[in-house]
Amino acid sequence: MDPLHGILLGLQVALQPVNLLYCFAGVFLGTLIGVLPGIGPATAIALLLPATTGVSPATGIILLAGIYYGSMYGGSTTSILINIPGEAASIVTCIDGHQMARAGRAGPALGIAAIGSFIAGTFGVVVLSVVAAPLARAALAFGPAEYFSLMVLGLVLVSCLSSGSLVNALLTTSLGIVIGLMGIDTMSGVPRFTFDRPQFIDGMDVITLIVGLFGVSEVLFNLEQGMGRSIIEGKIQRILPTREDWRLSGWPIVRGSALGFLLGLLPGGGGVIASFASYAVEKRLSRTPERFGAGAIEGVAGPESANNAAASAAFIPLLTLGIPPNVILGILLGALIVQGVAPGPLLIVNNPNLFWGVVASMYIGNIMLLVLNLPLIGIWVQLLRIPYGMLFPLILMFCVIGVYGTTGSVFFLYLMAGFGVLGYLLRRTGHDLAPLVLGFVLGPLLEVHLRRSLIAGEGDWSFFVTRPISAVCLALALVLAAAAAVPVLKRWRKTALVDD
Amino acid sequence: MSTALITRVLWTALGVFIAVRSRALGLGSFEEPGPGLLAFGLGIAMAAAAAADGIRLILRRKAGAGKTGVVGADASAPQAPMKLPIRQLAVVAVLLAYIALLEPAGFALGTFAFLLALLALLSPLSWPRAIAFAVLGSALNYAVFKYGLGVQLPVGLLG
Repeated sequence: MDPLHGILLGLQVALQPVNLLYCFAGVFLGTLIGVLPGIGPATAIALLLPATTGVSPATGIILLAGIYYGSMYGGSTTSILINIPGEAASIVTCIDGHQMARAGRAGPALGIAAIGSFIAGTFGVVVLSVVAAPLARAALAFGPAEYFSLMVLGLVLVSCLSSGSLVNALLTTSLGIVIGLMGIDTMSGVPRFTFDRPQFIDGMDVITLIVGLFGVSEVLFNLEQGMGRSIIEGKIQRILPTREDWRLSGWPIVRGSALGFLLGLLPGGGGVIASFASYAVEKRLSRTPERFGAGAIEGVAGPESANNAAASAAFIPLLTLGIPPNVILGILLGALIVQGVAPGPLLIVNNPNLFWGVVASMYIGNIMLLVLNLPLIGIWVQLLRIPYGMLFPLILMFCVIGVYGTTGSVFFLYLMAGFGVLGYLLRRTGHDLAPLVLGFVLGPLLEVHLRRSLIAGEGDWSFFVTRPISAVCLALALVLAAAAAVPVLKRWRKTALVDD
Repeated sequence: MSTALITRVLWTALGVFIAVRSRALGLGSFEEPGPGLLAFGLGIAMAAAAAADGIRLILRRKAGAGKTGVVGADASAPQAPMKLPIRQLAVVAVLLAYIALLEPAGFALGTFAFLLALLALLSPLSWPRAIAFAVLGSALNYAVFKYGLGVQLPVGLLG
């Protein structure tokens, strides 16, 4: 199916009233989550995951995808108005966005963030529509060895780029894979790490793990950050940027869109790296770099475009290869599995309604977001005044409803609380949770492809390096791991030598 | 013992535990991996990495005792002992009590008590406002999830 017919099919799906409603709910909640500091899109998707079990897979994924790219829009609002990023990809927007707000230019900062996000988001979806089908066709030639090596590369990239130390990333990735291996082994029928509990026979419940790790732990972690915040007061006058603002922002939006899209494709990449890279590029290319940090509109336009383009691009590896490039899409992969949909190159062939429906909903969602974020900005500003003390009890209540609603068992609620405490302790001690979740999601697939490859290669491990794509992926993974490990080993050696 | 070192000891123990449990599952051979091989390898890798990093921390501490501030700082490894997170412990205790009460008391009553307890703990709301918020929060959510979305929630005492 060519992209044009695909989009037409997708529009038929996305324009169904129920899907329009879920798309609106997704982008609305995404903006809300982006606006409220302390709750990230991963938490929001985790909380909404149980709500998708009663609807069709396309409808469920349209909702969750809307939360993801909607949060990229909303995240800039808090960065600009209260100097606290609504989500990680908007950290860099604080630098110049908040300075603009302090100088009485909050309106143009919010405006250019929304417009840049719209242009970049739409650009990302257009490219996604064009390249996804050919990429999926190419991926049909992938065998288990290629999938195994690609997953190894993805896990290495995520570990290298995680916010904690390399050792911490190695530990959390390994733990995630082991948790993912729980339950009956599909090839031998042996129960693994079930501790004689029937609840673990089918493996660890995805929703319980993710809601605990992201929902409960997010509340516990945020209790440390204090319960107050200060908002830039005063009415936001003019949202639309001036002609001079447009002149300064045009190329940063174009460059941010392209750079963000490319970085969003990489496993472990995504909005955070894209926004920082865009900021660095704009500062370097500027004739007046000294304005950066003092309220340069390019410092808002570029990064905000980049993180939205990255959010769209991230769907390509998920929808064409079944490999999530970041933790949020890892949760989306979990949602697809819960829905009984097999992610991978056959997704477009076997579930064209789902694939093209989600892509078309992203066009519609981006338009909805522009409307939500420009004329209605005042409402979001008011929401910033909700005290954390009222928000956190509600989040915990939603966690309980979500897990109990899907499992119907108090056992899983205790497990959720346990994962919440584990997540809090891990974050408190400098561990990033992203490698754990990606390890959990990819671990079982990694093992299956490893064992299938060895069956296909008659037990010969050289099978992985004799197939070109697999060999390239493994070589890249090795180079990356070595590049990340060398500084760590040098530091260790330095410690030992000082001791001697 | 610093928090970083305690963390490394716990990770080492967890790695050993995983390796021992997965060995019992059957490792198979390299040509034909058994159900425990991947987890066994990961357990060994976890234990080795955590133990090596723990040894590095001990060596650094020894070196630091001799030459204050000489050895490179490692931002990723917090050295100060972690303060007891009283507020978090209280929230977890309230959450566990809520889970325990959920089926016997039912969603509406349990959620009311849960919200009220957390509001008392975290929010500056006055008692009448907190009670009103808890009543509205539990009743509205019960109506939305039970009747709107068809989620099965325990009825408990009110049934």
